[in-house]
Amino acid sequence: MQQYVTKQMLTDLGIEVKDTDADSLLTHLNERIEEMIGAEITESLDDKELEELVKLQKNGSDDELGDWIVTHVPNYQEIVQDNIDIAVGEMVDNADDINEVVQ
Amino acid sequence: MSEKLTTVSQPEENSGQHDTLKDGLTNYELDSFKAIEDNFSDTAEEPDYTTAENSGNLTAEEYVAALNDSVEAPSEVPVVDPFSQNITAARAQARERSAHRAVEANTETIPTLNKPQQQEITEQENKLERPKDPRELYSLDELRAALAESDMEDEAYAENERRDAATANTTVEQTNNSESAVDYSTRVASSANRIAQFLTSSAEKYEKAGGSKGLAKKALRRIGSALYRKTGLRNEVEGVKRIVKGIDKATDTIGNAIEKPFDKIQDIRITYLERRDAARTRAEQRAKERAKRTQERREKEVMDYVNSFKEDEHTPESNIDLAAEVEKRRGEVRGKHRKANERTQRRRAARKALKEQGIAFFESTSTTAREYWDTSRTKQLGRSVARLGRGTKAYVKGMHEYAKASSAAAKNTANLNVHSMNVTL
Repeated sequence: MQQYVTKQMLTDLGIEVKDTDADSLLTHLNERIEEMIGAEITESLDDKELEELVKLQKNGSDDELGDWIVTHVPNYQEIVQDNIDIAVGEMVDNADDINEVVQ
Repeated sequence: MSEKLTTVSQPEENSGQHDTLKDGLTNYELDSFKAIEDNFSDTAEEPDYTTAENSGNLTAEEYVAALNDSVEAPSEVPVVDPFSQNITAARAQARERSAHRAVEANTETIPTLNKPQQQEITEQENKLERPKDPRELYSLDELRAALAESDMEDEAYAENERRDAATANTTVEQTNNSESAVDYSTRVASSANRIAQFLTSSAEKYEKAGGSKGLAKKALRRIGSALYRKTGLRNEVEGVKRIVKGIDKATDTIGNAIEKPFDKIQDIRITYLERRDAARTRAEQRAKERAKRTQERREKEVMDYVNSFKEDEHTPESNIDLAAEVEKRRGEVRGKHRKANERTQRRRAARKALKEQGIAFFESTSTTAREYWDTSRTKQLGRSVARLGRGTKAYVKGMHEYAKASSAAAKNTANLNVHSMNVTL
C-alpha cells in the first residue's frame, strides 16, 4: 500500500498516538485515500470506459492499467493529490479529537 | 506747602549718610522717598540747612515722615517746630503724623514695622510663587528642547530598563542592606509576581488561541510596560530589575512554550486545511463537470436512439434489445453507487460503534492498497456486477417481456416521432 500519509506527518501535525495506534490510523487513512481516488476515477468514466477498466484490471499488467488511467482519466494527478489533501485536511480538522480518543 | 523741612542735614555734605539711609529702606519707602524728593525739588524752597545741627540722629522713618510732612502736612496735625522743640519731641511727633496719615489714606501700616519685620515679610514674599506662563519662563528654543526631551522619554525609559536589568545583579546586595529596602523589595517582588502570573495566564490564552510568539511578545511587552508604570515604581532600580526580569522570564517561557512545537504544528495544520479547502473546491468543480458530461451523454444516447428511427435502422426486436441493454447498464451503475453507499454507511456505523464502545477509534481493514488496486477493487466490482447480473436476470427478463408487451406502444411512439420529423422536415 502506498503511504500517502506517514508517521512523521502525524508527528508534524501534532497527533500523538502510540505506535500500534499510529499503524492502525495510517492504514485506515491510506486505504481511505485509495478509496476516494478510486471512487472519483470510476465516477469520471462512462459505462464503456468502466467496462474496459474492469477487463484491464482482470487481465492487464500494472503498467498497462496505469497508462490506461492516465489516458482516459482527465486530471488524474490532480484527482490523486486533491483526495490526499482532503483526507489529510479532515484528519487535521479532527486532530484534537483524535488525541483525546487515543490518550 | 505751608512748612519747610529744616531738620535734615545738608545733602551735599552728608551724601554718604543719605545713601546709608536709603540702603535701609524697603521698596515702598524708597518709592515714597523718591516721589517726595521730586516733589520737594520742584516746589519747595531751599531749606535752611545751617540750622539743622541735630538732624543726623533721625532714623529712616523719621526722615521720610519729616519729608512727607513737609510736602503734605495735614492742617489738623500739629506742625513740628524743630527750632522750639527738642529732637525727642520731633521724633514722637513724626511717628504720630506718620501713623495718622496712614489711617487717613487707608493704606497699609508698613512704616510702623521695624526692619526685621520688613525683612521677614520680604523673605516670605520672595518664597511665594505665583502661576507663571511658560512663555515667560522659557524661550522658544527651550520649549522646543523640552518637546524633544519629551519625545525621547520612551527611548530613554527603555534604555534605563535595559541598563537597570544589566546592573541588577550588582545592586541587589546594596539595596537589601537597609530595612526600608527589604520592605520595598518585598513589595516590588509581590508586584513582579503578580505581573508574571498575569503574563503567564495571558500566554496560555495566546497559546490556546494559536498566536505566534512575535505577537505574544509584543503584546505582553506592552502589557508589562503598562503594569510597570502603574506600580509607580518607575524610578526604582530594584523595581525595574525585578519587574523586567519577571517580564523577560514570562516572555521567554511563553516563547519556549508556544514557538517551538505549537507554532510549527499550527502552521502545518493551517497549510493542510487551506490545501483541503482548495482541493474540495476543485473536486466539486470536477463533479459538476462529470455531471454535465453524463447529462450530455444521456441526451446523446436518446438522440441517437431517436435518430436511428429516422434512418430506419431499428427493428422492434433491436429496439427491445437496446432498451433492455440501456436499463441493464443503468441498473449496474445504480447498483454500483448503491453498493458504494451501503459500504460507506456500514463503515461509518462500525466506526461510530467502535468509538462509542471505546475499543478503538480506527479499524484497519485486511486489504492493502496494492491489493485494492490490483484485485480487491476489481473483484469487488466484478462480484458486484455479477451479483447484480444474477440478481437482475429476472428483472431483465421481465424487462424483455415488458418491452415486448410495450413494443406496440413503442412502435407507435417511434412512428409518431418519425411522423413528426417528417412533418418538420
